[in-house]
Amino acid sequence: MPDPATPATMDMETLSKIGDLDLIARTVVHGMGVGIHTGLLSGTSAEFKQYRPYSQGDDIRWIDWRAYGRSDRLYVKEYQEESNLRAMILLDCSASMDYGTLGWTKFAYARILAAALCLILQHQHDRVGLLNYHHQVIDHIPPKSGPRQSRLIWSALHNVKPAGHTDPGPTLSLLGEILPARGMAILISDLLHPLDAVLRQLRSLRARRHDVMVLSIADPAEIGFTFTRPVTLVDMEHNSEVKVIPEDARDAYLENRRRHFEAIRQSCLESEMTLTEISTETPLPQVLRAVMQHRLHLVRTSSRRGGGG
Amino acid sequence: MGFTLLSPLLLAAIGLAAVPWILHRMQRPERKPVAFSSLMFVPPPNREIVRRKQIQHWILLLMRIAALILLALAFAQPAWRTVKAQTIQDQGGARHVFAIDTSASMQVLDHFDQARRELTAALDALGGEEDFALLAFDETAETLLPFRAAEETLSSRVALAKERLAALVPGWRATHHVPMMQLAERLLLDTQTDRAMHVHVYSDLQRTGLAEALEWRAPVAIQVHAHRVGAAVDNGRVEAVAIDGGAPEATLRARVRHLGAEKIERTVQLQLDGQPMQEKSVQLEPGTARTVVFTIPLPESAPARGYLRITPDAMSADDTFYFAYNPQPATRVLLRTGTGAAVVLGKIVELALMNSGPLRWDLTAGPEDYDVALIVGSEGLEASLLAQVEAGVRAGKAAMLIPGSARLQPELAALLASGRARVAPGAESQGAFALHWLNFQHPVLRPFRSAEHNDFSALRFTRVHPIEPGLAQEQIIFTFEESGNDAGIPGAVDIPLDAGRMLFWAFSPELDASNLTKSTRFVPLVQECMAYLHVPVRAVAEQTIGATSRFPATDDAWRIVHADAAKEEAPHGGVEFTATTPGWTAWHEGDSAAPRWIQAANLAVEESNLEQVSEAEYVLRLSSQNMVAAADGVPGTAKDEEETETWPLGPYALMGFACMLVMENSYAARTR
Repeated sequence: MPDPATPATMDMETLSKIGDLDLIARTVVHGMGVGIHTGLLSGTSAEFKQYRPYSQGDDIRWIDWRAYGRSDRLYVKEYQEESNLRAMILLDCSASMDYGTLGWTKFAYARILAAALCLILQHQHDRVGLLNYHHQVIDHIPPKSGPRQSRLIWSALHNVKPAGHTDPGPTLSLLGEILPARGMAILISDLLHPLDAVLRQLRSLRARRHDVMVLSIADPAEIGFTFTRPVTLVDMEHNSEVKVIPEDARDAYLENRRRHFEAIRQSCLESEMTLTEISTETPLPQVLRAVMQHRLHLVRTSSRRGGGG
Repeated sequence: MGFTLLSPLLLAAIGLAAVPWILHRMQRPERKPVAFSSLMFVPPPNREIVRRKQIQHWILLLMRIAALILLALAFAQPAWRTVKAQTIQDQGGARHVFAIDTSASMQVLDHFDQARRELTAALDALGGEEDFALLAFDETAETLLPFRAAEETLSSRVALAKERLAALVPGWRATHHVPMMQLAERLLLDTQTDRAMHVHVYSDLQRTGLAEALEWRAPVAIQVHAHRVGAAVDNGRVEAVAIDGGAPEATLRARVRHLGAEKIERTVQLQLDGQPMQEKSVQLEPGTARTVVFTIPLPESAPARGYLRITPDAMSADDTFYFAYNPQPATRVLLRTGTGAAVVLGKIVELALMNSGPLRWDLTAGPEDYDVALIVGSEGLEASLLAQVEAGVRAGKAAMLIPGSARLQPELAALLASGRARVAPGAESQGAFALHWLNFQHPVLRPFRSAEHNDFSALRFTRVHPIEPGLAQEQIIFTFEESGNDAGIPGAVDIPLDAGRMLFWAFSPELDASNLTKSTRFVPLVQECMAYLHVPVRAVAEQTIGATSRFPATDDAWRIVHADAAKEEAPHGGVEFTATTPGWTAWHEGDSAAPRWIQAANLAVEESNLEQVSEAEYVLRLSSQNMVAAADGVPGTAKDEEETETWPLGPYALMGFACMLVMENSYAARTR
């Protein structure tokens, strides 16, 4: 657990008021405390990492025979692993993401999450890209590594404003063109568009053999429908209005929502996608750790595949 | 007569009805729409349900408001008044008691004249069949004119009442309304009658006069009518004086207070023994008090008197505060104790003398220069000393003898031998005797005259030496009586001996009794016995008008004067004197111009507080009837001649409230 006294654990309200996404991302990542080290895996690549004494069980292929000739001792040569992972962050920038009751919106939360993810993945020598979208693609930054890429992504995240409605169609078609097979797609969205569109979007991603991780962002007021007084609600994407008596509408709302997400959950399960439902109350480091766990699993799997075959 | 409210003030609670309305307003849908991320999960509104909900909310709101209005109405005690078919006139007219306030506060401006005018007008308005009595009151109440005797006519009685009113002037005492109301009640209820009964009070209705009104109210049958005169005015007063130190110079501290609404500046003038001494200016904020300090010369031995006067204002009665200073020489006591238990008893008596009390005793006096000899247990004492004491008594000094432990002391034996007394048959038996009969008329027993102090159950006397009655009554100080024996056996004797006198205790206190030296019975008994034998100069600074001063009893000629600079000295008889005006009370021995004993009398502090109550509050606090308008029942008006019947509607309002609650509950449950 991160030390609650460090600035890394600054609350979302404070973070959301800081304009510099680079700083925010570093602050949040620093709050994770662990897992930001480079080279989580040692493996084969062009980049030498270190020598270490041979120990029983080590693959004899990695013994440096030249060193043995010089020193008459067995050393194993280790290289910095290159993951070759291409990660694409898909950020939902529709108007519904601009909702929040905690002092920050879902979009503010998602943007910081995306920036922090970008930073972590860059540290892992992964190639990271960004796709901001609503009913059309707003920004498209192809996956690359390096500090310049980070700056590009943060700049795009900083400039984007949530607006319009969600239509994943154009995003999907673009994604099919730009993202090579077996890449990693991290979808950050509230998934508040019609169920068939959501499912189509997710299946389409999976069909291209992407490893898909879905981070579903929700505000506590959406999760619990916490209104207490009769109220007139306005849809942020379509501007339609409805008068609501919370005590009457709550049960139906919760049931409809449950069904919607249950269907998404089921679809993810069937398609081997990871769905993480996140409340904007959840501390960001906790979410980041979950993502990194998934990434580690993915790299190991692909490494095993690559190594094995 | 119609609908009325017996406690209309409580109708103010009707404001509670706004609470459901406010809650309803708070519960209403916000006029400003609230943005929400997506309405895809929100069920479509059922317009019918929404409309019905709105109606239900309104019905519930109305029910809640109605319930609270009914509750407030129940507290306000609604009633329906009807005129009784038979009027008072038919029954011989109402009986009225008119009471006029003559307390010191009525001296303010023309308050008393105004009260007298209003009362006179009410007397003129009386009908032929009506009857009345007239009272004057301050701390106590006095009947100026009782109810009519059979042969008197109303007009002659009214004329007589006016005559007595004209002779009346406000006095100096405080106001107490309850004694007046109690006297009025006695007068009204003296005769069994169905006639209406009214008490009319003409007063400035000082709040301080209603202190006892929490515990007493006029019976329901009596209607109380208050007629307030005047209004509260600014009033500066000197309310207390303290003298520290003594001759040749003392510090005098005067506390001056201002009871009013505006800041005032006053001058405080000090006069001592008829001579103006000093003046000081003082500024007083409303409701505050300040201490003004003077340094004054005081004579070494003679008593001094003076007053402090604040600049006169509307209430002059409390502008002057009188004080008295008595130098207090100690009485020289020759204390001698015998042997054995007498030593212990002597110590107890000594402590009892020194412990408390207004007198000062010098117990170091020798046989040559004493005023009073105090002999505790003569056994073991030198015969020459006893002879010296006896000689002193015969020469005009005094002595008190408290026997020691022996059952029959030589002193008593000598007394019996002289034929002055003899032992009652069978009274020599041992055992404790309860003291439960006393000759309270003897001056020594002055502290025990009130019922509060004559309980001797806590003080046990043993080794009593009863003496059979046979002495002159005035020589018997107090007597003992065994339970069931009412023979009246004297316990101590007062024995004149030539020029002096001797007091002989025919008993000994029980030494085992705890706290004898602090006993509220034993200590005063010792001190009063000593004071009786030798009249000292006493220091009593001041007291309130109406309190009784008690003076030392002596065989010499003496006189009491009560005077101030403006009044002529007037002699009074008796050992008690009650001051009725502010000033000094002085006790002169013989024809001496210099007083030996002096004290000051002042106005009761609470009378200076001119805060008034309203007529309605007065009636509410002193009457058992529900509050009615003060103007109701004024003699001669039609209202007064009608007798009404009141039908309380409060219970119906309460029932309505309960019904409304039940209906609201069931309706809310049904619609939820």
